[in-house]
Amino acid sequence: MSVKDVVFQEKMERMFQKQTLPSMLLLKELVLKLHEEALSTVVAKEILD
Amino acid sequence: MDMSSDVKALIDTIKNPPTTSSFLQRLNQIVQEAPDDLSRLSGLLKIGTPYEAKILKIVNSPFYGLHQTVSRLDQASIYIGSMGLYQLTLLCEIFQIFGSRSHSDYSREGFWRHSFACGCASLEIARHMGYPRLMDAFVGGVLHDIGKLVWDQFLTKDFKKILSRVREKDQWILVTEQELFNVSHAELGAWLLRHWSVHPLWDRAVRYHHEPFPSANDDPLVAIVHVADVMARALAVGDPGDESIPQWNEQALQMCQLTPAHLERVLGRVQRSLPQVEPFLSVALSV
Repeated sequence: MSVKDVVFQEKMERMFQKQTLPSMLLLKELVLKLHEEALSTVVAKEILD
Repeated sequence: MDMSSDVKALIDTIKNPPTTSSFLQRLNQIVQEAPDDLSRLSGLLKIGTPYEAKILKIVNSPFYGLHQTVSRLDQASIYIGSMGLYQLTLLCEIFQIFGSRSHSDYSREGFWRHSFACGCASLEIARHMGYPRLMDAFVGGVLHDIGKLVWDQFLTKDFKKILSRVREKDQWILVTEQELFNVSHAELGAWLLRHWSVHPLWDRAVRYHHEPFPSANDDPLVAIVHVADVMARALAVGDPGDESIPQWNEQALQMCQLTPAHLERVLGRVQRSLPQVEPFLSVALSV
């Protein structure tokens, strides 16, 4: 995991730290999942290039 | 919509509040009185607008996905209608009035990226729930934080105090605005839109985007923009002025028909749609 990704994950943890509502926690999980998917697309593209 | 005495007092300190061009005012009149009257619209278009090149750049971009390139506004209006033309003229005029450089250290690029992410989220939520006026939803999302530009441009000293406290205490900008001035960017934004006589649908969405249920009969756009703002913040696109994430109103989530399964689908669509607003950003930041 790159420094940029660690920063993103830490930002998410900080932003959502006070949230307890299940739908807000789901939102956080979904954003992290989208971020990971976007990363793997970038990595796959770099390998193909 | 009532305005508090604190909002009135603060607005009174703004010297020469911005006005919109006569072109936009006349276009607004056509949209409200006779949106399908093409002869009235073409009469106005003959006068011309300084935003023609910018509007055409956006209309010809993948955001609209037209099958052919249009080179004149009258051609564009066939595809996007007088309302579409009004929406794009309004946005171009706002870009012009507020410029691309901040008066504080809150970057315009960060501001517009967050605003357009909220516009994309509003559009995708509207599409998901079958809300009929998709572009109204998009524009409502884009305009939701316009009150922050009012702070930045016309109440700069006060805004610098707000930003400084937001960073010092790492707190939500809305809380800070209310602590220091008992006035929110939502109130300032709604005031500006009313001052310009824009469609009341947008000024309500702007006014209530942090408290989405002022009345049971409100248009769903208020709930759409509220949920879209939280989504845009979560996606961490651009800069809403702080690093907080407010909790959404679950009633608004229900109104937007966002079950957990739908949320995943809509959020994915929002993220994929973000590159399509680059032409808007390029116009906003080129002023």
